[in-house]
Amino acid sequence: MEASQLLRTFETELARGRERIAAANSLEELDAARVEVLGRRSALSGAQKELGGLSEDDRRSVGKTANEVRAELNEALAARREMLEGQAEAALLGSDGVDLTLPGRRPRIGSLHPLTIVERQLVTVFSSLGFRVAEGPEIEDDWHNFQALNIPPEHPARSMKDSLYVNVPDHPELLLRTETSAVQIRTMQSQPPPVYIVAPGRVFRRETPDATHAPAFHQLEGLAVDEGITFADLKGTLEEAIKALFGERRRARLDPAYFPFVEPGCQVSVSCFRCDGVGCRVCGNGWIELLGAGMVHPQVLENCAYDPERYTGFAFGMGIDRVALLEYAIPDIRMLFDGDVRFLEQFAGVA
Amino acid sequence: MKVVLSWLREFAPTDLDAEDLAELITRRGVKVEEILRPWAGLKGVVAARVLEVADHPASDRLCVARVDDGSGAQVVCAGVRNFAAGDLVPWAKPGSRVPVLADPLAPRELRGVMSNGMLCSPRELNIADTHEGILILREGDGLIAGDDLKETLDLDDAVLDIEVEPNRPDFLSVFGVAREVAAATAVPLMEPDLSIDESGETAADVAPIRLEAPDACPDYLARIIRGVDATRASPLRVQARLSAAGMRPVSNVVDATNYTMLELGQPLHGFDLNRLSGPGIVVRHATDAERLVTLDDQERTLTSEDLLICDLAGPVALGGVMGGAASEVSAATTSILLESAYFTRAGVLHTARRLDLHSEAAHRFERGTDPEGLARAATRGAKLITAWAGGEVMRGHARAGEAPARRWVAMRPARAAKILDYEVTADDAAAVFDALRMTHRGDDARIEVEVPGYRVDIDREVDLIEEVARMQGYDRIGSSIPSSGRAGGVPAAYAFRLRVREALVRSGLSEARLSSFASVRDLALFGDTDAIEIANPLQADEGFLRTGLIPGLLHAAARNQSRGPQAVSLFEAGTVFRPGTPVQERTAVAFVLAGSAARDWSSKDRPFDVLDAKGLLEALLAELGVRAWSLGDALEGPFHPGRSATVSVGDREAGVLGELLPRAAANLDLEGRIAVAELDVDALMEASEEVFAFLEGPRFPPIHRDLAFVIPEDVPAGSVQAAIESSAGALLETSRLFDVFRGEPLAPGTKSLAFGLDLRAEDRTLTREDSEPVVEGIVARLRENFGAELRAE
Repeated sequence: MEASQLLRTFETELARGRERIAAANSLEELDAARVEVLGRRSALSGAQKELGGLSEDDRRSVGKTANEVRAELNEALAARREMLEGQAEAALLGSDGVDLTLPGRRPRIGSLHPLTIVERQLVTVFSSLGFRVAEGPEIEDDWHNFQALNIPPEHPARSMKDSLYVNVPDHPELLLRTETSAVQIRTMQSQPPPVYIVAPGRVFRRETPDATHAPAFHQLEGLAVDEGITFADLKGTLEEAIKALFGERRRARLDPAYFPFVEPGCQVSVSCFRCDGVGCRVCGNGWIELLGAGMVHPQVLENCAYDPERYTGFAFGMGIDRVALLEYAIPDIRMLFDGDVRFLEQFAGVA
Repeated sequence: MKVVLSWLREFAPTDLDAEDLAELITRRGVKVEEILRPWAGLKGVVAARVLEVADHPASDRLCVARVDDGSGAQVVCAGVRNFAAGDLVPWAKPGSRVPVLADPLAPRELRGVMSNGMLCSPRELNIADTHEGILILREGDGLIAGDDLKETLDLDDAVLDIEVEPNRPDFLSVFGVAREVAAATAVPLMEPDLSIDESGETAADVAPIRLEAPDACPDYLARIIRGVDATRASPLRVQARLSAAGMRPVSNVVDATNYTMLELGQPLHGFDLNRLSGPGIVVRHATDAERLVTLDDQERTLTSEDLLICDLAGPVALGGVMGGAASEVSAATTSILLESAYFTRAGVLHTARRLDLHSEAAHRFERGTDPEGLARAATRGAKLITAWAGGEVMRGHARAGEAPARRWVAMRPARAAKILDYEVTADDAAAVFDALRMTHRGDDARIEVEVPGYRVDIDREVDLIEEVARMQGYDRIGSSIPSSGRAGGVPAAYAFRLRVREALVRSGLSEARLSSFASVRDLALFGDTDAIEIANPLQADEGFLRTGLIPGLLHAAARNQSRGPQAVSLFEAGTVFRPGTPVQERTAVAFVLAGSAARDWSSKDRPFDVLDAKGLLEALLAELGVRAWSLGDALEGPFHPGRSATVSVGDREAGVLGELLPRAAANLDLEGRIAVAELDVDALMEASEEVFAFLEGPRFPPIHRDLAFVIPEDVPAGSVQAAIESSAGALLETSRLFDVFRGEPLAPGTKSLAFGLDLRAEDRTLTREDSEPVVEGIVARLRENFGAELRAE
């Protein structure tokens, strides 16, 4: 074929291709048009195959034209595609809107119990101070629960009225532990000093439930026994814990108090986190009683075969329930043990 | 212990007001729980003379009185008529206030008669808890018409409510608290007025004491008072103090013994001397099965461990616990044997506990009274009796026994410093013991302190160190943090329990903490007979310790349903109890699902069922790394036989899964499908495979094939899937059930199960041709095993 003939063909195909592309009204039609105009079997491709029969000069110039035609058609295709895609998207958006005021599809969010949350906070704090968690049984014997803690049978703090006993044949000594303090004894019996433990757990009292009493509640016991442990160590440790739990501005106040297994003993109060210690309806005088503590009574150390001349220690026991009630402004301890989903689900995400 | 502030100031004349004093002594170990003001609501009530009492024209119940306080006669109506013309009565005039009423009084018409205020009963004035009639004021009360009651009776007073710890029974008295106030404020400590005139007989001749049980009663002392008039009430000021301290005024003689006990801490007991068979008192142990009617009119059967006070005919009181009815002081009493004795703590505690008798006296004796204070209390009591009831105190006292010798306890100042972490010198310690009025001796290294009888708590060195610390004030204590020298942390079992909880929270459940107790009915629900019984349950439905967590969760679900149609998805992780050697405690985890499983408006509304429970179980076990587990046989009892199974972990049964039978649910006040599961956490921990390593992703793409089979209804999906997996061999990477279909066009009794399979080779891209023999093998296996037909591909 002559060069001029080929040039004419290219010209014709360019015009025809432009029309064909412009006539395509959907992406599918545009695909068909592309095959027809630029495909292997198109007239344009057929004509390009003829280029080989031309002289070298003609081949160069006609070939250049062929490439220009092809490029021009590709450009037209791209432009048309852009237009058609835009149209298609516009059509889709017109019919695919969503009412974003509808509630979203939420995954179900569970919740830890406030006591678990508080216990985890406490364990984290004391763990960072070098205390390990220790645990003991909820059914204790009289010796661990009372006698070893310097509460002999004739002690006024002890009566059948305060404790819940279990009927286990040949084991009249068994009762539901009244304090986590028994874990102090079990730990000291099982290892030589030093001891740095906290013992969270459920304890039991024979008490009629009301807003501030439950027959089962939770305590966290702490015990440090080492050479040279002082009352100042007790105060400093509890101050750290109080700041971590209730905020850096909180202060601790120690007042004398009596617990048979510590001496000197103290009641530890925290400056009120509602009024910052000024005095309000929650605290009265600016201080909220938080826990009981003291230096481990030498008799208790002796009961565990520790030498009280060489080792001293401190112990404390706080109500996890009490901390939870204070921290979350819960008015009634019974709410903790009811299983009310409206109450529990509020703790989703609380850390 | 409620301590009336004006009473306290008689012995420790501090100028501090109630608030400042409370703060100060709380910081020294006398814990003031509350400051009460019983007469804050009393204002303007005056003494008035009754001029005339007449019937009310329109009421049988009311009467009309004319009274005059000196400012002119006015009319007042009253609901009782125990007073007469000439009596002096408390008159709450219009504008005055009484504690029992919120508003000031105003003139008020009562059935046609204008009443100007009211006449008051003792209860309306918070003076005594009696309300039978109008209080009639007497000469001894020191009031004349027109006197303001609050001013004249010094009722502008405060009461310190002190929490008395069992180690400090000396705080069970006004004087004991005054000792601490004096030490804390450096005011002098005033002794009570013990001046009496003695006359007549010698007490020791009237009532010789024979002490046969010095172990239980080391010292027994008595005074004799004759010629009393016990018919009258004690002075109003005394009644008001007793009431404010929490004791009921009774009569002048009884009030005098109670007043002395509250003041000095020594319980006194007054016997009607004329009703004793004398002469003399015998203190001895009871014989077994001996009986005594106590003054609450109960007949008590005694044992040889109980202590008796006897006259020459037999028992007249249970020593330190309660008097006998027959010898009780009454209005007719004219002669009194006033007992002031030292009973040991253990003996009184034993008897009081065994008989469940808890008197104010027993409360003090079982905590420890001052063995050195008998004579003083008896003299003080005798003085008050004669002051309020007349009569004469006989000479001296009858006595047998003696107070125990005082202890000496030593303290090393250096040891105190070591515990308190601040410098304690011998001089510091000496100053503390001086303030506490304790005799001491010694040197810089060691101070010995003589312990007074009332300090039952001081036995060893650390007790003295505590005295130093509290008297110097805990604010002296510094602040330091000890180094444990090792990392903190939690034991594996504790950490695992937290993991279980967090896994279930991630699955959308809320954690509950429920009762550790179970009722007989809870146990019966699962046919459980092997539970630990509570010996002294507070409530009948708390008679046992729980053996599982499901009953508690079911009760919680029922409570939730009773509050509204809310979905319930709760879990608990907690201790369960069984008899063992001797008892066994394990940790269990359980959950309950009830109500709508729909998460929101767009998901299909359907109830939770056993497959939701199974899904939670699967997710939990996967999170915990428990791979070796399976479901076993259907459960019995309250469970749906077609929707329940045992759960095995490893090779042992470790829990249950299922829905309740509708009737079992209804019996628990539950509605709809109730799905539950419970697992033994210890078993899960054993089976948990903790090793975890990242797996590199596959390098070649899988071939995906979807196959649907028509299968008889009774073939479990799990069996079909197991057959597919075993037939497919090594090329099968995953198989997933994605559709279950029943109904047209399938024949009745058949179902269609559709599985999506991914086949993959590690070393090449599989072709469809590679998958054909695998699919053919599966089709053949399912046809052979279950008569299954390939429905679609």
